[in-house]
Amino acid sequence: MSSVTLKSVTKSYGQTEVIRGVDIEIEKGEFCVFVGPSGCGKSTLLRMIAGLEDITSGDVAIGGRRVNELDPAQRGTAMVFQSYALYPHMTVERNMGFGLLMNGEPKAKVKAKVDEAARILQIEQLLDRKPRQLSGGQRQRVAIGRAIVRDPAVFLFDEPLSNLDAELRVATRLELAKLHSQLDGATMIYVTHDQVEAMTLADKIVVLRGGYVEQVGAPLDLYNNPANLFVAGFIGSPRMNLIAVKDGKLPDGTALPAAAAGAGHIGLRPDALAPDAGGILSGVITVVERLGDADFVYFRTPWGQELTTRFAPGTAGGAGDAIRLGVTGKMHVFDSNGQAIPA
Amino acid sequence: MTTLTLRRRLWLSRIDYLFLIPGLLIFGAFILWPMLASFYYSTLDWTGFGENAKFVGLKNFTDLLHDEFFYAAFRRSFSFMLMTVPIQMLLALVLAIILNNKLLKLSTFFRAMIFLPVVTPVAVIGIIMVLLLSPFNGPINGLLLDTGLVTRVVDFLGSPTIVLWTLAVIYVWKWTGITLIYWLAALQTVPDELYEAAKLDGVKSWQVMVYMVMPIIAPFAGVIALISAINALNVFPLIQSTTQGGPFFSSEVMEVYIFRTAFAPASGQFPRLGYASAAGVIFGLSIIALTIVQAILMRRIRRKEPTHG
Amino acid sequence: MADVMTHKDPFFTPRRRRQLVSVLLAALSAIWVYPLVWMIFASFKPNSELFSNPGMIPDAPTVENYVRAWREANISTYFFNTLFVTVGSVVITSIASALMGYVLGRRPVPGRFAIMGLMVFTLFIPQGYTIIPVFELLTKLGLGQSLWGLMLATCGHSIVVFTLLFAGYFTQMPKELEEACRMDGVGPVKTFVYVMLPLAKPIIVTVVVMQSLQAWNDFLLPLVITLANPAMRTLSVGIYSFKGENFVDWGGMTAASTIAIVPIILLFLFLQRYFIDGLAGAVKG
Repeated sequence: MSSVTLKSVTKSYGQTEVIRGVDIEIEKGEFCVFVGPSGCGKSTLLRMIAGLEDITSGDVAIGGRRVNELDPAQRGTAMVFQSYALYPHMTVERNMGFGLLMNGEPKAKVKAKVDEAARILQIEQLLDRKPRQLSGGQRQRVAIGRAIVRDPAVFLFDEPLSNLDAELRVATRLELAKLHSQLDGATMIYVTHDQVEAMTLADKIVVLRGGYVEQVGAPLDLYNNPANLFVAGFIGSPRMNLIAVKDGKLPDGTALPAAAAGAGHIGLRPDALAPDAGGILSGVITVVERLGDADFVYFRTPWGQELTTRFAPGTAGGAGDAIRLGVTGKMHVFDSNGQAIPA
Repeated sequence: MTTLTLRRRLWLSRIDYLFLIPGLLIFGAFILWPMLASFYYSTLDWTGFGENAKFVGLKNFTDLLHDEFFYAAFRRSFSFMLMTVPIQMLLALVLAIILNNKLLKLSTFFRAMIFLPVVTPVAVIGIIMVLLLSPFNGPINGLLLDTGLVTRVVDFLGSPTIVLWTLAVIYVWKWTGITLIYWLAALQTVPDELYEAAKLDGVKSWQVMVYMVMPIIAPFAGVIALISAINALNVFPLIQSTTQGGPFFSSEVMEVYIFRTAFAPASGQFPRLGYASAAGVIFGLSIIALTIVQAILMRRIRRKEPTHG
Repeated sequence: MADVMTHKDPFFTPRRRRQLVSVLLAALSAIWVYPLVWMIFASFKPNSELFSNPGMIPDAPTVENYVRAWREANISTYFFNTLFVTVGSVVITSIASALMGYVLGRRPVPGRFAIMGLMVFTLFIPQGYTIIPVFELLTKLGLGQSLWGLMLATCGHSIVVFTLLFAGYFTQMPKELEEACRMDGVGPVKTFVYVMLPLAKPIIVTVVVMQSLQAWNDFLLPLVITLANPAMRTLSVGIYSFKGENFVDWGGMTAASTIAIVPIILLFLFLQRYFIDGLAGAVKG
């Protein structure tokens, strides 16, 4: 268990800069998730921590020790790959123990470690199988097992759930959360493009875009106080309604509360809206999604923007109905540069 | 600091270079070096042994231009190629189309039978053919006489007028199996859905072949033709083990000529390694030229249909 | 003009047509392998019968041809020479081409494209072009009169094709496998031996099979190298010389030939798939 510190880290391939000066502080035992759209540099950053990519400039420290020049194997990290990268010709047991065996660990000790990891992951009955005889979820466990066996200071996960089907993804997500506490709170760094995974798993989320850190914080922090328009739009499902405003007025001229004076955009989460005959937002329903526990209503505003709101189950009208909504929750306000203006 | 220097990259790859050593040694010693050395040898007047090599410049090449045997052998090599490659490719293609039918149960067995001559050593084929085609008690002649197809024995390998054709037939028999495999590999790239879709559309099977399968396997045809052509130019083992270029040099192809000049001169003559090397250089360059022409042609054809990756 | 639906003769159902094709193919196959079968039968006929009995089946089967060929015509020596050259060249070629293919296929080594280009350029060089320098080189190395020299030179024939086969195969393997090894602290040599090589098993078998075929059947190279040294002949050259030296002994020749083809045909029949895959891979690449 170790802390991980990134200080002014950059990475270039020739002329193209993909990581543009990143500072991140990850505490001991923290579950930290790097999230962002594809191409934001999150996987590259993870691979730089692992030692699979060179660091162009800046420092990476693990447990207070600078590791820039260290071999991947000496950094005390273990990685779970997106494709799992299991050795296809080896049994599960050998897959998990391979690294240790090759480094001269005694067989009995390796066996004990593999058995222990298999017990934690409940894959004891699979130890004699080859990867191709396993289901996707089982392979995933073996890949995690291979990391556990190494007893690393830091676990690195590179989109480990993206090859699983939706149902299994949810189940495995829960398993991972349990695993984190089971491993006495090992430090874990987890890369994903799925903000739901980030919200549910993380102690700390790092939102990345275009090689920059957009915001760092606890999941609810990011949800409640997004630092900018990008984070506001990225975190939360369904997405926050972002409306461009001018001179404290909506595009259709409706005046906004005083808090929005000087704002470039306002942001309203779907559940911050409710039917209100005197509300500021109006529109025509285009689609209603009835999920049983809630109705999501998509409606078109007079200025042609599609917005989302949430109704109690069975209370929404149908497509074509006109609605009028008032603001019942928090209104996020962003200046003309997209930065949040604190309420 | 940003990009690694070449020196550091070389140092980081030191184990990779270690891995390359055995392969490069073999490649260098038995392929690359001989290619270059041939050029040097071709400028020598040299009987092969001792220190008697004498530099003669391009004399070997000018002499070759006046050597009837060289001309004849050179022409014969390429005629042999033209005599065999089209037949071999066509025959193999027809067989491949038939054998590619998944419903044909014994397909693998037939393929193995056609392939058997490919794995048979050429020296053995030489023996079999000399015996089978022998004008004295040879079974083939016996059969032909019995059925009345001929009235006098045919000396298949002993008559200057038909020997090359006989060899061409033997050659096609030996190597059709390999061309068949190439065609089958090409046909396997045609997706099964295509046949099924065509069947549902009521397209006749010959139409499927001509309009759908042929265009897909056409790019392979170039490669297969090239491999077959080069193979047909390297026909030394077959000819040496059946006729040794005879009778009266009438089946002497380039490689037999090179071998005779360099290693097996007529009694009373010295081996001429430099001269033979010069012949080899001309032959090798012609083959490289053929390869390049073929590559350019194929690229041009491919450029015409940009849909094929 | 006639109704398209009834145009087809109902006699030729697809199944009937397949049966007819099968019969034709069977006939073709029989003609195709006739020379080989004839030879095997002939090897069991005494010489006297070979000239008098035009039928295939021997009247009085005998193995005396084999005894004579094996003992008197030195076929036993040639057999073991061939075995030595084949096994040795297979071992060396597979190791060398696998190592080189691995590096050229997926290691970011400076200069690998230059090496690849050079190799492809030499792909179609005929043996007749290189035989003289190869012979000279072996003589200079003092290997011109040894089976070791023959074995080494035999490795050269297809090393380029095999290397390209390995390179093509290794190129398409996921790079995460090596990264996983790096994370585990497994060095490049161990990664190659324990992870990459076992995964390349299909290519290894293909290379073994094809190099065996090549070495066993090779003719020009052993012919040139053993010109002055009959004791080193391989089966191919031995049989060829047999024909020149004992032309009337048809029985001996067919027996010697049968000895030469049986191992390679057995190898082919058992490992057919790998022959086919190897060749198919070569043309696709």
